[in-house]
Amino acid sequence: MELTKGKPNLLENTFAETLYIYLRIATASIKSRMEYRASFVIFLFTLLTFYAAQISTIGIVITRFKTIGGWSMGEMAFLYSLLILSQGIVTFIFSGILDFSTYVRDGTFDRFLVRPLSPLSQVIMGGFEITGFAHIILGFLTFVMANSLIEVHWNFINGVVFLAVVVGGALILGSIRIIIAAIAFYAVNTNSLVHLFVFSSREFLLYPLNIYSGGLKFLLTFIVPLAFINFYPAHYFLNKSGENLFHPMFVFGTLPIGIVMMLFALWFWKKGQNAYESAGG
Amino acid sequence: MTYLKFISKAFQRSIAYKLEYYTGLMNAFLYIFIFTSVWQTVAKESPGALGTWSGETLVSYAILSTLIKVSFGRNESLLTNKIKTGDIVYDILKPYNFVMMYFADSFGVSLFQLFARAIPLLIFSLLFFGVIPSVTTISLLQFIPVYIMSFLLFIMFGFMISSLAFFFTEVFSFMILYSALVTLMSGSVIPLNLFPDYLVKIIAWSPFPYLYYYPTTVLIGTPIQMEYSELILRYFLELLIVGTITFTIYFSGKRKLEFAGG
Amino acid sequence: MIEVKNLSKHFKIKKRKPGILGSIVSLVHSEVEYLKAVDDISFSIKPGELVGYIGQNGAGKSTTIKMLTGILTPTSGQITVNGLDPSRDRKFNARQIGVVFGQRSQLWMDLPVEESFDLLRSIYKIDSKVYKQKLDFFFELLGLDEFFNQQARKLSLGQRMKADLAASLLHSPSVLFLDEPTIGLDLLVKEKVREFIRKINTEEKVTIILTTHDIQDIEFLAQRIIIIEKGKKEYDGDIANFNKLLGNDSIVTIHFVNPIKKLELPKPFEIKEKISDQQYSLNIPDNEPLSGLLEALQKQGLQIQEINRHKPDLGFAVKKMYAKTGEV
Repeated sequence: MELTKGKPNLLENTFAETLYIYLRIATASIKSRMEYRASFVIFLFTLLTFYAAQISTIGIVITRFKTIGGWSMGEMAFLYSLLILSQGIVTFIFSGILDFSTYVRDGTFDRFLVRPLSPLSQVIMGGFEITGFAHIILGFLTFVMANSLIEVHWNFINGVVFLAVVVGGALILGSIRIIIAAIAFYAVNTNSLVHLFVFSSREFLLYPLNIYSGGLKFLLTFIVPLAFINFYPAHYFLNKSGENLFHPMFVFGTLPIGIVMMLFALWFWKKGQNAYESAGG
Repeated sequence: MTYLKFISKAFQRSIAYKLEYYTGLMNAFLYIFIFTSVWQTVAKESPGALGTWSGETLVSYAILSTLIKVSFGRNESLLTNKIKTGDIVYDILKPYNFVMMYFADSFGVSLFQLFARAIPLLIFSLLFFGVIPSVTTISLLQFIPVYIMSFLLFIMFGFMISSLAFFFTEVFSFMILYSALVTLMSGSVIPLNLFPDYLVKIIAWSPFPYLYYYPTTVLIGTPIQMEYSELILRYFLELLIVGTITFTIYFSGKRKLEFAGG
Repeated sequence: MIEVKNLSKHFKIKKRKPGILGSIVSLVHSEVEYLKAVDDISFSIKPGELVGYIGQNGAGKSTTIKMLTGILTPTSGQITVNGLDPSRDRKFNARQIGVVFGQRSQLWMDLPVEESFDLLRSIYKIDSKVYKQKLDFFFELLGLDEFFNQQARKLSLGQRMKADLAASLLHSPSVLFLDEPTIGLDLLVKEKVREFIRKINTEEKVTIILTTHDIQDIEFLAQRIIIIEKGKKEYDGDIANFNKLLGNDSIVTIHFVNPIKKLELPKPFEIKEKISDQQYSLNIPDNEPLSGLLEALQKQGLQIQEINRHKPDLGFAVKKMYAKTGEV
């Protein structure tokens, strides 16, 4: 038996082929995660319980006080649903990237560098998380509940805008994750940073921005534009007055900002990767 | 003494993670910020619904309960990882009591968090929010034993859940479940007497309000439904019950390990 | 094929003081120090060579390999692999090299080996006929078919290493980098792996760079060795020459009939190791006849039960070299 001395295929994969490869990696990672979770259903259940507890907290406050910052329960539910729907997409696609500092530490990332593929794509594709669907279901439920409590005028255009907002929100959240992950190129243990920016910062968005001080509003609008995920676009759908907006056009800012942030995140990642390659991590 | 060394090691370990320290601080401040904003807003908008509270006392509550929460520290993965990898057999073989070591370690972490997080946060909050919590000498003295017992309760819960690793491969789900219960029922930012009545009844039967609700209310001197002496008695009872459950799980898990050969 | 010119790599290291006070200080400030991990190294490797790359831990071995595979960018100097710059043309270069990290598998742990291989087939665009032929080759030589359907996570270390080796060769790379390929393997598997590597090199003409701590790997496989110590290249040439240079000698082991407390030897023979009162191993220069030794022993009235002569022990020479450079 002879090892056929084929020649290495030096041609780059076409775009379609690359996409196909990434899809296969993604499917493989989903399959393996589902196998690994001993009791997938139980995990899903506990996740939903956690979110239920989180919403209940808000629910209790609003049941007692009727409005928070002038937002009624239905409006708060709408706010929440926007957040959770974007969150679901991000959890689905960008979960693998949360473990990135581990990959750097244990040499998995080096392994990615030796493959003829983009390392970032390998990180992302290898980390698809099917529990993202739990968020999407939750988002859908709260969305339905919101609509039962308040009047939202739905037509084709609003539907498209809604989709754009959810996608834009996902881009914003996803780009933040990529940026935080890229910091692992410079610092060793980024777990707490991840916790802060990825999880805790979301807490702000559970409540309407106008209850916060001016400085924080500024921070969440111009520095880390999280408010564009749900607060600003909600004004459009709920026909809320624009007195809290810095500018009426802000309601449409979600998608453009998401795109800009994602481009920045990718640039920042590339920088970090170059730094890694010179510093060795 | 060995256990003193464990405390010191845990303290040092906490310092070593510089980034984690700063972000942990930010994290806690974030929560304080959010809830003080919420309370100030609702107090302004719906003062009638406040009950026995005022805007200021609610903010004090939010700040102090968060500080208490922040001062409780433990190394969550310490036990679960050791059980998962089987390393725990080494600890059981060593010439110290593992349980005491765990408590000493948690104590070290909490000591660090008390000084490095709780106190800076307190100072910062006082300056930033300008709220003077209604703490009197009496309430402070009453607070201290309650605080210690809440801390013990906290540690035991952690130990209990981690010990489940003897029986289940994935303890993560239990931790999430525990987190959910704590979020809802421990009074970590919302004082429990603002809850709807039916919920209050259920929660009063659980051990969770003893974690943050009672210590905070004792500290700021808001009246609770019982005498101080009764509260202390209840604490002893809770510690007894939770402790029994915790150590039952731990010791039967340990025995299981010894039979299975690790 | 592989050209390395004046390669250097410097790192910045943060220093932390010990103790509680030190750790509080380091919360705000730490000192920085420079480390020359690789210091002006040059060599070239021709197609079909099998080179052993030897160095102690921290000597710069894995740093060099990382630069050769494109994981690290050099601080200064040049590398070309088949005309490509590994760090600049990283993705391109990745298609023509194979890498096996002994400590880290390239397989997807939760998938059956078969699926990992199939994924690689897509990634490297391997023609399906060629792919099938390679699989047959690996099945036969490595027994890969025995665990091909198993989850990578469930494989024994030996099986995983075999799978990693095969996986690294699927795309017919012209260069193969092996980093500690036999680490932790049991004896039988080690031999199989070594034979496989040798076959790949001699019959299929794959150029191989092998880094390992296992001297026997080197002795069995490599014709040429490059030794790196404290970032500098200390030796580059074939093994026989190395032994000669360091005065590494043949080893003679003698079993005496009666135990001997003290053994006197004439030059140029010397005691390497006293294994027991009855068993000694001696150094003797490679071409030196044994007659002088036998005469001397007979004169002392010593009776020999058994006597053996072995090739020079490379590990011994390497240790000698480390000792020398350590003194400098």
